[in-house]
Amino acid sequence: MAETKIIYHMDEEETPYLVKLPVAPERVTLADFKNVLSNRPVHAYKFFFKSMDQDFGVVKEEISADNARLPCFNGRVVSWLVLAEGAHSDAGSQATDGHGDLPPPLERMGGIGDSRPPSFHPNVASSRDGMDNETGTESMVSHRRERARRRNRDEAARANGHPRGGRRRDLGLPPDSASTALSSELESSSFVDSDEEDNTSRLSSSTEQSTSSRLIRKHKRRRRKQRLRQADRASSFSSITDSTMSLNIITVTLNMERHHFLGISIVGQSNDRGDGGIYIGSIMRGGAVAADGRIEPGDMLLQVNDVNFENMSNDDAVRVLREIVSQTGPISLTVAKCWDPTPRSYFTVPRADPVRPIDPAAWLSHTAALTGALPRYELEEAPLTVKSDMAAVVRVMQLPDSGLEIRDRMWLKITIANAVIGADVVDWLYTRVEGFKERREARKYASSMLKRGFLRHTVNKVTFSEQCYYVFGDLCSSEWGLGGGALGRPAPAALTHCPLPPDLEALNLNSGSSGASDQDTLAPLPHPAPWPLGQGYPYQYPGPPPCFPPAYQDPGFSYGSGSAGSQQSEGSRSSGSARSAGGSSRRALGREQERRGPGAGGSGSESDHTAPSGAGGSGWRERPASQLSRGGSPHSQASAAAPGLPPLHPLTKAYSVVGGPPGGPPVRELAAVPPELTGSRQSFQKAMGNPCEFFVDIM
Amino acid sequence: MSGFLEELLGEKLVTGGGEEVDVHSLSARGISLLGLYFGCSLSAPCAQLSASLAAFYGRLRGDAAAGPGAGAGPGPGAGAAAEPEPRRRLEIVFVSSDQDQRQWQDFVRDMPWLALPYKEKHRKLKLWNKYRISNIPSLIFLDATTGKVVCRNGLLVIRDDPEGLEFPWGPKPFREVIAGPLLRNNGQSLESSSLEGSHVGVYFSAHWCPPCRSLTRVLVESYRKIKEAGQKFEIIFVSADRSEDSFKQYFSEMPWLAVPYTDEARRSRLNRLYGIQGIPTLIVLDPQGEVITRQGRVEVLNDEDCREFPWHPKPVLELSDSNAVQLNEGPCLVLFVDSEDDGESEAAKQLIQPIAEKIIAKYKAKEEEAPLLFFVAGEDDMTDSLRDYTNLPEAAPLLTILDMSARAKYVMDVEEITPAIVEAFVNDFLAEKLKPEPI
Repeated sequence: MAETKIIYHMDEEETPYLVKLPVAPERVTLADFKNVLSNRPVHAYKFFFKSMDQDFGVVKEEISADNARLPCFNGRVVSWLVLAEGAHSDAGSQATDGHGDLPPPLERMGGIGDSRPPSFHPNVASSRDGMDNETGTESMVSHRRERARRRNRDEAARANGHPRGGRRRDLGLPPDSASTALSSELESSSFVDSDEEDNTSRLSSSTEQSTSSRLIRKHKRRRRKQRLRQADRASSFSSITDSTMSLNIITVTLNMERHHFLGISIVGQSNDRGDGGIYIGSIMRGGAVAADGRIEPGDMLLQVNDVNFENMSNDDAVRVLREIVSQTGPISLTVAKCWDPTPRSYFTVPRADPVRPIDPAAWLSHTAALTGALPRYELEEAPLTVKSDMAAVVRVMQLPDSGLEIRDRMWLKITIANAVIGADVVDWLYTRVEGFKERREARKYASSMLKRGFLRHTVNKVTFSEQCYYVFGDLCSSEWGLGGGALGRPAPAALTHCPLPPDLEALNLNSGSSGASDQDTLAPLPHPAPWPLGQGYPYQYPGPPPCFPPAYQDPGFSYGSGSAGSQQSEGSRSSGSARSAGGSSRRALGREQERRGPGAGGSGSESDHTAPSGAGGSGWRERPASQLSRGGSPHSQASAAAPGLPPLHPLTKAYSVVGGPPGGPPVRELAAVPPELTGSRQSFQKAMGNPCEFFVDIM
Repeated sequence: MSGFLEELLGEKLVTGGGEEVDVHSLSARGISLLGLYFGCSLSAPCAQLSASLAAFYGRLRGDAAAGPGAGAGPGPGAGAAAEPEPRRRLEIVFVSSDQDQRQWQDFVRDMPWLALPYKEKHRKLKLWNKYRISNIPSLIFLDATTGKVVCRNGLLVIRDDPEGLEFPWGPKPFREVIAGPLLRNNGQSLESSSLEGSHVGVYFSAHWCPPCRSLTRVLVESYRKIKEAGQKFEIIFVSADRSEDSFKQYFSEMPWLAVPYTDEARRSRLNRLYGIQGIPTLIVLDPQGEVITRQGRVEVLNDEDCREFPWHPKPVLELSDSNAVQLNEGPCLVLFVDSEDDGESEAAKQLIQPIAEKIIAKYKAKEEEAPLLFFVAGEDDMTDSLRDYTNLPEAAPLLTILDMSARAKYVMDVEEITPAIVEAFVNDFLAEKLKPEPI
C-alpha cells in the first residue's frame, strides 16, 4: 500500500515530527497533510516544504492551496509549520476550545453545519481581490467538504475511543481540574505554547497578511465568550438613551362612573440619569381603560387630568396618579403612543446586557448546550399524567429538550428571560401529559399552574391567556435571588429589563370598589419581614469559604460558576447519586455544590432544610412544590425554610429577594414591604434608584 | 404606469363591500395620488383614524365621492359617474395587519376606499418593508404614476391640512420649508438665510420625551466639538413639546437655534418633509439642504468625538448597540464574523462593501431606498443576543439576511464566503428566490 512519510518541524522545536499518510507520494496534497494534523490549528499555520528550485537549489517553498501536490523526495516530504502572522492560537483559549470539540448541542444535532474543520489558508494566491477564479474556488470548497466528512468520521471514532467528557464526568473532577487535564492533554501534543506565540511575530514577519476577498471558517463551532457583565455599560447605554417616542399623543377621558376602576398597571423606567417616565404596563379587563381601548401597553403616560408629569419624578407621578384615581369623577389620561407597533415581533436591542439566561437552571442548560454536555433526563421513566404532581410536570416542562420553547423574549422594552407563550404551554401539556381529553382541559391546567404560581405572568395578570408570555415562577424567584445577591453595586444590567425587580412594590390604587377577584392574587403574602440573611446562610454554608463574598458579589462569577455547575451536576448524576441530585443541581446551578467542593453530592444538603419529604434523593417527582423555589437563591431558600409560609408564592419571593451576602456590603436594604401593599415612597424611590423596571399596579 | 401599481399592490384590490377591483383600472381612472393606510382593526387608534380619514377622503374626492367600486355593485362606488376634478384624484388602499379575517372584514366594510385582499400577507410585509413602516396607523402618500413617496407622514397631513389645501403635499426643498425667523435661547432672532453654507442638523425633540432629554445632553457636547473643529454647523430644534413653557424650558438647555414654538405650521411642515414619526430624530443636511443621514442620533451616540462628522452613511455598518435598532427597519444583510481574529471584521467589511455600494447606487438611481442594509457583526453581547433571537447556527463567518418585521431569516451556512457568494445571495434574495425560515 502506498504511503507517504511527512517529516515536519513545528516552529522552532528541535525534534521534528513524523506522520505517515496512506497516500501515494505522487498524489499527496496539502489537504491530506492537514487532515492528519487535525488536532492542530492548521488554519493558523503556514506550510513550507522542502523543494528544489532550478536556480537556488534547495528551498523552503510555501504551499497554501489545499489541492496542491507536495514536493516529495524518496517518498518523503519535509515540512515546516510556521504560525501565520495574525493567526492566533492563544493557549488560554485552547482549553475552552476543547469544550467546543465535545459533541454538538443536542438541539442542533444532525445539522449540516455542525462539524466543520478548521480551515484557513492565508494563501496569497487566492487573494486576487474579488476576482476569484471560479473553478479554483469551487474545487477548494468541495475538497474541503470531503475533508469535513472524513474528519467527521475520525472524530466520531476518537470520541468513542476516548470519551473526554465522559471521563471527566466519571472522575467527578471539579471543573477546573478537568479543564486543566484537558489543556495539559493538548499541551502534550505540543501545539500551544506561549513561546510559540512570541516566535510567531518574528517568524512570520515576512509573511503576507491574509486576504479580504473571502472569509473562511476556522472554528468548527463558534464558542460564546463568557463576558463579564459590565455595570458601567449599563449606564452609558440605557434604554432611555436609545428608545424612541412616538409623536402620536392622545388624550383619553374616562368615565369612572361606569367602570369602577382604571385597570392599568404602570412600569416606571429610570436610569442613573434620572427617571425615564412611566409607561402603561398592562391593561386589565373590565377597567375603564380597557373599555375605551385606545390606550395600549407600552404607551407613555404624560399627563393625568391637568397634572403634567413632564417635570416630575416617577415617584411623584405615581403618587399623583394614586391620588387622582382615588378621587371621584372622570379621569383623563394623556399618553404618547407606544413606538413599537408589534413589540413581540421586533428584535429589541438588549440594553447593556445579553439576553442570556441569568437564572441558574437556564444557565446550566445554556452552558450545557454550548459544551454539549447536556444532561439527559429519561423522560419516559416518568410518564406524566394529569394526576402527576404539578411541580413534576413543570419540571419536565422546563427541561432543555422538553419540546417547549423557552427562551428570552422581548416584551415592550423589557427582556423576559426564559419566557414561554401561553399557547405553547397548553399545546405542550396537551401533547405530553396524559389525561387531557380536550385541549381545553390542558388550558385549564395551565391556568391553574398560573394560579398556583408555577407560571407567572410578567405583570402579574392572573387570568391565563394563550397570547401572553409567562415565566416559570420558581425560576424567576431564583433569578431574583441571584440578581439581588450578586449586587454589590448598582443592579446588574440584567435586571434592567425585568418587569419585576426585586424590590418592586405594588401599589393598590383602588377607585371605589376594586376588582376583587384580582386583588387576591396581588395581595401581598405575609411577608417574611426583613430576613436576617444570616439565618439562611450559615445554614447553607457552615463556615462560608473565604472566597464567598467576593464571588457572590461579582455577577460575572455567576457565569463562570454556571458552567462549573453544569459539569458538577453531571458528575454527581452519573456517579450514581440519585436523580434528584442531577435535577436539583440543574436548578440550583450547582452553586452550593461548587462551594462545597467536588465531593459533596447535591441532594443531601439541599433536602436538609427545604424538603422534608425529598430527602435522600427520592426523585424529583416527589418533591414538594416548595422546593421549586429554592433555586440558587439563598433568599428564597430562606423563605422556603421559614415556618408557616405557604409553599407556593413566587410573587412574595420576588419581593423578598433583596440584600447582600453576609459580611458583604448591604446591597439594598431589605425592603420592608408592608403587609398591605401601600406605596411606600421610600422603597419606591429605592426601586427607582436602580435601573430596574418598576411595576406598580393600580387596579 | 400601471406597471408600478401592479407591482406594488398585485392585480386585485377589494372594496369594503367585497368586490374586486383591477389595479390597472386605477390608472385608467386617472388616480394621481395613492395613499397607503397601514393599520389593524384591533387598534383603537386605527379605528379613530379611519373615521377622520373617511371625512378627509370624502372632502378631497369631492362630495360626490366617486367610490372605488367603479360602478359595479351596491358599494360606495356606485357614483362612479361623478368624476372628481383632476387635481384631486386620490385613492387610498388599506393595508391591514389583521390576523383574523372576520375582524378584518368587519373593519374594512365601512371603508369608502380600497383594501389589499386579506390573504395578501406577503405583499403586506413587502409594503411594510419597502416603506419602512414602523408603526400603525401609518399613512403614506405616493405619486401614483411614478411611485415616488410624496409624503411619509400622511397622519400629519390629515391633521394639519384637513382641507387638502396644500395638496399634493410634494416634498419641497429644505430652504423653502425652513424659511423664516429662527430663535436663539437668549431671545435673539435671525433669518434662516444665515444657514447658508452650513451643515444643518434638524433636531426633532421634546422635553416630555426622556430619550430626547438624554440625547440633548450628548448633542450639546457634539455641537460644541464640531464648532470647535471649525466646521460650519448649525442645529435647528423643531419642538414637539406640548406647551410653550415646556419648549422654553427645554430650549434653554440648547446652544443652537429653534423654529419658534408659535410657528406651528412651519414645525409641522418640517415634520412632514422628513416624515418624522418618532423622536428624538436628528437629520443631518449638507449645505445644499440635501439629507446626508437620518440617523444623526445613532451617529452622535456612536461617535462621541464627532470625528466622522457629517456622518455620510456608510454602505456597511459595524453592528453595535446603538445602530442595532436599524435591524428592525427592514431586511438587513448581516455577516457575522469572528472578531477575535484581528482584521476579520475589516476583511468582512471590505468583502461586502463593493456589493453594498452597488446595490445602494442602483436603487439611488431609481430614487429609492436600498432594499437592504448591510452589517458586519463581530462578537459581543449584542451579537450573541441577536443570534439567540434569530436562532442562528453558531458559526462564523456566517452570512445571513435578517428581516425582523417579516420575522424571516435567510442563512447562507457555508464554510467559505466570497464576494461571488454574497452577491448571489443578495440577488437571490431580491429576486425572492430564497426560502425564508421563521425567526
